[in-house]
Amino acid sequence: MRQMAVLLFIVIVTAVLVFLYIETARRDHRRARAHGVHVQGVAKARASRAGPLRTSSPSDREATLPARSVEALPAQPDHAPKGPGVDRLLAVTDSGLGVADEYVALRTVLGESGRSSESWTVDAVAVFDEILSDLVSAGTVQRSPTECFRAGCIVDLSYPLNGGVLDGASATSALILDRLLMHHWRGEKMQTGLRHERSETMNSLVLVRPETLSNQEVRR
Amino acid sequence: MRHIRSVSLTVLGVLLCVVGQARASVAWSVAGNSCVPIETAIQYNRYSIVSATIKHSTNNVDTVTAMCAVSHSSTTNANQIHVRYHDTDDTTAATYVQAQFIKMARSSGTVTTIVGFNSNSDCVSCAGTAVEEYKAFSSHTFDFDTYAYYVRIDLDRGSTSDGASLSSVVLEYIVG
Repeated sequence: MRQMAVLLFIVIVTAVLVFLYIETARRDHRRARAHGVHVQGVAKARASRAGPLRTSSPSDREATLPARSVEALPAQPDHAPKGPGVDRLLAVTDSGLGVADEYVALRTVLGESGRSSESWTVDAVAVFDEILSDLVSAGTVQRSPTECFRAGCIVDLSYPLNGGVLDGASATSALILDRLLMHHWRGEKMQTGLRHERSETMNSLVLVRPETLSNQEVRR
Repeated sequence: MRHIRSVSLTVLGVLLCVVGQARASVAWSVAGNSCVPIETAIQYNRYSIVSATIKHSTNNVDTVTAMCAVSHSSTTNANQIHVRYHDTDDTTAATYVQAQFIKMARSSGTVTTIVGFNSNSDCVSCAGTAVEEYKAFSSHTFDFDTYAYYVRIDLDRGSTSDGASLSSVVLEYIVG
C-alpha cells in the first residue's frame, strides 16, 4: 500500500515537472519572440536608404548600431494577428533605431501593407483634420495629406523654426500629442520623435488600424 | 523513507504554489494620488487629492491630466489594465475617466499607446458609482532597455454636479 502511494506520488510530481518544463519553455519562447527584432522592414529600409547614413546627431548615430538578433524573429505573433501589417508596424520601435531610420522603417512597413481606402480610414482622416486644422490655419505647423495603408494612416508634420526647436517645434508637438491622446481611437496611436530633414524639423502621426473592425468598416 | 516522503510533499506543495500564483500577477500598480498632475492642472488648481483618489477641485470642470511613471514591473508581461474609478454620469460623453498605458522609445522619442481605457466606451457594469473595470489587451512584454513607460490619466466632467475620479490603475498579467 505504501509502495502504491509512493508510486502515485512520483507520477504526480513527474507530471507537474513536465508541465512546468513545457510552460517554462513556452514562456521563454514567447519572450524570445517578443524581444526579437521585428523587422524585415527595417532591414529593407536600411538597405534601400539612399546614400550613407548621416551621423550628425546622436539619434542618427544610434541608427548605425546593429539590430538585435534576427534569429529571434517571430514565426507567429504572440497573440492573434491584429491586422495586415499591424504587428510589424508596432514592432518598428522595438529595434532601438534612431529617429530618421525609424521613420524610414515605419514608411516601409506601412507601404508594404498596401494602400487602403477602407471605411475606418475616413475616421482616421477626420481625426487628423480635427487635431491639426486650427494649427495649420494659424501657420503653427504644416502638414502633408493623410496617407492611408492597411496597417494605418500617417501624416507628416513640419514645424517652422521660429523660436528654435525647443521653444517652437517641441511645444507645438507636445500640444499635438496631447490632442492625439485625448482623441478616442480604437487602435494604437503614435507620434514619432522630432527629426531634422532638409533644414526642417519634422515628425509624424500614425493612427494604427483598429484591432476589431466590423465587416462594414473593412468594405469599401 | 519518512524523510523522503516529507521532502517530496514539500517540493510538490511548493511547485503547486508556483503554478497557482502564475495565473494572475500584478505587473505594476499605482494609487491615483501618486500620479503627477501636468502644469495646467497645477497652475489652475483643477484637481484635489482625497485619500488615495485624484479628482476635480470643487468648482472646476476642466480636464485634469496626470502622469504616472511605470518605473518597474513585477512580471515580464502585462495583458490587462484594471482601473478603479468613479464616473457619475455613466457613459454620457461629458464626464469620463481615461487611462492610457504608453511607451516611449528611448532611441527615437516615438510615443505609442499600448492600451487605453475610457469609462464611457469601455465600462461594463457602468453603475454610476465607484467601480472597477478590466480591459484586456494583446500581451505586452516589458522592455525597459528600449522603452520608458507611463500611464496617462485624464479626468473630465460636464458640470460640478458630476464627478470623475480615479483611485487606482493596475497592469496585470493573466494566464489562460
